[in-house]
Amino acid sequence: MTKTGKVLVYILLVAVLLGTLFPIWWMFATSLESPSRAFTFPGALWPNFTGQNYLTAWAAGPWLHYFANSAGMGIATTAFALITSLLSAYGLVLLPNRVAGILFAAILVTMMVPFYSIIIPDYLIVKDLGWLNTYAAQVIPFAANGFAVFLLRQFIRGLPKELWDAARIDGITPWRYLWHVVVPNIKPALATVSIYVFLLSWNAFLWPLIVTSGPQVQPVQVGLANLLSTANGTDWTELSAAAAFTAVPVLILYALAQRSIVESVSRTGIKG
Amino acid sequence: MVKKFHGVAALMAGSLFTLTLSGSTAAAPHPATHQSRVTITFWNEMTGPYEVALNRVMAAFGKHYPNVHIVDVVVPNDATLEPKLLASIVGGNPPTISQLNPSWAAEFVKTGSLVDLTPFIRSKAGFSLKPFYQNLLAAGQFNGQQYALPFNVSAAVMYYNVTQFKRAGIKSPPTTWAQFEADARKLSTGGRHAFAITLVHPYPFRAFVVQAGGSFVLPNGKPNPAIFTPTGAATRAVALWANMVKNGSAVLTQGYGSQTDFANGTSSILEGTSAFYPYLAQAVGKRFPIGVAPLPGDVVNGSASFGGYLGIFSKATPAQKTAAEEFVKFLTSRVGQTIWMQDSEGYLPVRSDVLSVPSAKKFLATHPAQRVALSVFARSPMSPKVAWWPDFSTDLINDVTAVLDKKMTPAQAMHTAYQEALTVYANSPGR
Repeated sequence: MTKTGKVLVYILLVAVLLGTLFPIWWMFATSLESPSRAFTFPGALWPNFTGQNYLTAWAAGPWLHYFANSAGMGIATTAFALITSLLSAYGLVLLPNRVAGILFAAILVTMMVPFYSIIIPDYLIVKDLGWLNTYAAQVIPFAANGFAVFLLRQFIRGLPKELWDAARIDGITPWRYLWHVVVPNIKPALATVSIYVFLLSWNAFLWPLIVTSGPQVQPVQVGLANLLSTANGTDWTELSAAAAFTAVPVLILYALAQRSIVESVSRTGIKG
Repeated sequence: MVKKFHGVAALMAGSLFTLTLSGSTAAAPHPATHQSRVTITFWNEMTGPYEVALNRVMAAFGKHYPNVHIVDVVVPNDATLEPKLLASIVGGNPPTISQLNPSWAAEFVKTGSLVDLTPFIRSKAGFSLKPFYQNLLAAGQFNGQQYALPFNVSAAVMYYNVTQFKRAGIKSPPTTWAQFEADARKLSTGGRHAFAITLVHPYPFRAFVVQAGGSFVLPNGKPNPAIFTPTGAATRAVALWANMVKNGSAVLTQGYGSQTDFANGTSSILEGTSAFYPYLAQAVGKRFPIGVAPLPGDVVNGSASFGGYLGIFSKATPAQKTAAEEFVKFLTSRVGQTIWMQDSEGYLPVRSDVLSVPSAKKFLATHPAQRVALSVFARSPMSPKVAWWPDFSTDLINDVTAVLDKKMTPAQAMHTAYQEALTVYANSPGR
């Protein structure tokens, strides 16, 4: 690539970066602004750095409790989903093609059913199990994930056949092959699934709202909506402050796992 | 998003109706004396500052009824309360009391999920409905019985930027549609649009249809064809907005963008309920004085009311039902509504006798949005209490949006809206 071409590419990349960062900056800037200046230009874009909104938003509810709920449920959901999707994906690769094809299609179908259409049946199951207003109601229904199975299956299928043949010659069992060969080779995919499921859990809103009745077991997103938005208007500065401190854990997590996510996406052939 | 949630609600409503028909019945009652401790659950949308106000009213109730423990469950808005309520009803464990819309109540009454409040109201322990605004009471009545009582209600008014009005040489806010159009033109200079339209809810449009003398529903519950004709009230209302968009004096905003536009001075006129006022005052600060006036009228000088009702669910035990009835009575009482109006700083009392309370008089003297809204409150109907309204209102918003986006003419859009109204009416459960 010529020098001019490189410069153009970098200009384009910087423009995309700025475009991506702008809403995040806007949120943080609004969170540091007084309510009336937040509606003026360039008021909200270069704030007067008041911390009052954070103090007010933090005092509005039991945020530490919400954070603990979200983190705990996110970790539990991720752990369950990793186990179920890894075993399913591995089984689908080992099974005869026809059987695996039918089962895989069935799993893909679960991704195509709108969540809203199964709210009532799911609610009735959770209620009959006595799980209303519990953590279990928010974790167990998401302990298996069709997309995670799809992603891991693609990765496992991509492993060289020679690895499997060599393992068979060495007399390794399918179980040991999974743990000692497959898992170490699909770490980027596992990281992606972890982030994906954790974010789904962290951002869950409607389902937790329907099956819970109080802050004791509610996640941070429900707390955010309940405490800081109304049917008539919103105090954007306080809401931005709360949105900022609820987004920080996710931003950190994404930054830490960024390399694995990029690698796994490039290897599965998924294009954005 | 609204469409999605209404879709969910429709789906769930279907399930509710089917399950109820298939024999889902009330739980066995557990009688309890009035003196024993009773726990009731109250689902409501009173988030943020309104939750603080509601807590004060509940605390006042608690002083009179220390044996009643209220579990206050807050959800953010209609879009989330409706599916939560439907799921709980289908699941057989609804709350004791919930805030609800009259159109949901229509469905709940048909499935036997709501308690008829009339026997309690007429009993010795009951209360008179005379002081209530009759237009509000009507929305909670089904088959001649009172199933839901109004609680947190506001009405649409016109907010305006006093500084920009003065600068444009407009001495007083417009009182007719013709003046409204003319003033909006004067205010729309330098690429600014005077009137920022919000269609998050249908009430802003409904208010203009009311002014044009129209009603969406016939007494028999069917869609009213007259308002959708080329000269009908709905068509004239959307044509007014469309003309203003066409000549650059109005613009359709997304979400609550109209509040933002008004607060930063991009627009000069905002249609919103009295409950907007605390948020607007905070957002505008001292940059300009906010004027409040009734919406400009056409055939009628009216508006649209918007808000929540209270209903008791039939799954409640007799003791819970008794406690819930006392709670509803208190929330809608003169005392309860006075506290609620003053502490919420945006909602209106649902009964006119609050206006003679000295503290209420003093309060209204310094709160123009509520004062102005009250001046048109009796001529501001609630959203229609028919089960097909929630689905239709989404279609209506889409049709009005299509006109403002110049994809349809007003006549075409309202013809389409009528066909959609007939379809949702035909498909509404148990009509």
